[in-house]
Amino acid sequence: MPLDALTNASDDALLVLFANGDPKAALVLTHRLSPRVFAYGFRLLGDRNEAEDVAQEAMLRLWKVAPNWRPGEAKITTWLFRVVSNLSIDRKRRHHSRAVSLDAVADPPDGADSVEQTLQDKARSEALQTALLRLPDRQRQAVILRNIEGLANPEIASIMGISVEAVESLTARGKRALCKQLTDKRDALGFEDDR
Amino acid sequence: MTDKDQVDSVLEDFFAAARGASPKPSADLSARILEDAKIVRAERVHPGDLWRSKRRNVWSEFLWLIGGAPAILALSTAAIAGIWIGISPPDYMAEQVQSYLLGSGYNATDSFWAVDTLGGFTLSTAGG
Repeated sequence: MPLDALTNASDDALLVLFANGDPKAALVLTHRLSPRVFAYGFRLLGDRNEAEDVAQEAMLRLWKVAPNWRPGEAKITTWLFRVVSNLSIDRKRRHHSRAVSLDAVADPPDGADSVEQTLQDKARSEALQTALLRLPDRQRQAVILRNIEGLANPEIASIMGISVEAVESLTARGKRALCKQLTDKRDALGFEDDR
Repeated sequence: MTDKDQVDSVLEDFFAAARGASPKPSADLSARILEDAKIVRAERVHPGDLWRSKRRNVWSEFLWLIGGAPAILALSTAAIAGIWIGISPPDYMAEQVQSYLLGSGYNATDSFWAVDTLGGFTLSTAGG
């Protein structure tokens, strides 16, 4: 199948094509899914190398499960987020958490924003990342999935294997803890200038 | 303003900044993921390749070439049995081997005429 046609295909359809031996399907799936998988892993772990290892392992598991994948039963992204969550928690238990490096968070894409605005966004993103890493694992997962990845609570519940009510409770507690950490930094990060 | 609203108003700009500055993986990650996909696909066509690709040393290479752990077990069993028979052969074996090696008038066909192929039947019975 031509590459152009594949870029419009669903994740499920691409995984079936990969299971049937189409290498281009793997290419499209990799470019489509690996940045999200990596970003989620990075936000959970705060370490670029660890996040890349987790992303690679999660995608490897996807390739292996492809022949047995049942299209329509679960979303591939939901499945991947679940795998990344489990792998990241395992890694965090094995290693001490590490401080986020200033270069770890990517610059926002070029656009109309001024250099000052771009630097401010990066500083805010890094401040949030540092605060996220201080949250308990489950609260951090729930807040990232809800407020950064933008997933709905039922999907987060499926990823974390808990009820929707438990997700709501975790995000509420996580956000209150983040708020406490970040309120004092708002002036330093230029929030007063935004008003 | 409720407590929840206040929390949301503080955090929303941070979340927006994080969504806009999503961490990007290195180009090397895509290459590694695609290499894994290639190996998994090949594994389905040629089982053993995935395992083989992870092997590191000469011993595991040798193990793979001769057929893995079952082959090692079979070879070890055969070797031990050979040594055992060499050290302590059964009595009948010594005679057989000696006659073959030394050719002391013993003819291999000699042993065949003595074999009773008809079991408990007599010649008269066999002839009807």
